[in-house]
Amino acid sequence: MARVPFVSRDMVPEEFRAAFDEVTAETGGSITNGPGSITLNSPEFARLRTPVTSYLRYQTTFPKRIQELAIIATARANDCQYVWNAHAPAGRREGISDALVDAIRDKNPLPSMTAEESAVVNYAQEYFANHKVSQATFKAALDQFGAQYLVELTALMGHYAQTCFFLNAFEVSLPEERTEAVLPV
Amino acid sequence: MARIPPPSRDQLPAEFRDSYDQAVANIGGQIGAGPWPVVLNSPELALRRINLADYLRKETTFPKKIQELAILIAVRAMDCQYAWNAHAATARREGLDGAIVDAIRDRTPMPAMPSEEEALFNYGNEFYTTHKVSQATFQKALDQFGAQQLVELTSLMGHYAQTSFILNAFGVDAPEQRTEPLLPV
Repeated sequence: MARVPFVSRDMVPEEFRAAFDEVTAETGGSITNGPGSITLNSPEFARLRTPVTSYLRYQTTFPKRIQELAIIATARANDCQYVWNAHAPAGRREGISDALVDAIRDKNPLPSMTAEESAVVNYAQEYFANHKVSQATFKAALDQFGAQYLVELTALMGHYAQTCFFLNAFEVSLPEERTEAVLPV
Repeated sequence: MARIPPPSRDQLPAEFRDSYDQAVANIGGQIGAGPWPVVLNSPELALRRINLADYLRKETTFPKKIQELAILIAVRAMDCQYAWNAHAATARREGLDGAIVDAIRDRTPMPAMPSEEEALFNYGNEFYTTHKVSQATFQKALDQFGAQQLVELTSLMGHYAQTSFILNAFGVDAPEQRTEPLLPV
């Protein structure tokens, strides 16, 4: 349970009901977990955010492993237990080594990584720590991913940082059943 | 000059040209300066993001002064010179007290604020400082804005934090001609 109640259709002003119906169509008329349960408080915002999320997660064509790595680096930087718990297992399934996932979680020195992995991890960690990215780190990321993918990876991390803000501020609880250790905060 | 040039329409893959044209039309026909020349390197993302940004900026119903305050809180937290320079000036025009703008910029103690502004400032600043929001601060923000607007204000801050990531990582500097002092970083 979060800090605000779940949104039901009768709570939504008339002018937002069509947006509410569209956003909840796939989940039977309500959303009762995760960030969607919060964003639904603004149905029109939720309706317009969905295409951004689906593009960044499902339509872009950079490797899933890199996507999951970008997401867990963001969850760690924003101390978001919910996103961490959802995406650390996905990262492991996509082939990120346990040593790398665990080192990101515990803020330990990072193990050896592929060039692609280190390019995205360094880029994320530098930005979230300093709010800037050195020329060398930027260049390594640009060389690995090219302009289109690097824009998309940056947007993905910014998108998940926004998700972390929702989840943490509105205190969306973690599921009871977990396979991941919580982030040390 | 940013670290990468804007895309040239002719060099985009054919399947992205319609999105590119529509995105450029939606931002007023000129790619201008700022984040869009960077984001347009992923035209489909740019198009979807513009629709989302337009909702947050043009269709939400909280006062413009509150909107600009939310933006300033996020871009100060992310040390983004470009967005600060653009929005500090707008915030002053929308009637936000210059002493508030200056205190956010310089991270000095905040002057007395109307309760709406104080609720928003504490909410954003707590999140960006600690990655969580205390129950008292959350409750004040919820009482002031209600769930829908608080979701939208959270989104707006997250959106501008994402914009800041894009601007800072891709090296988009504040313009030479400025009316605002730089953020002390």
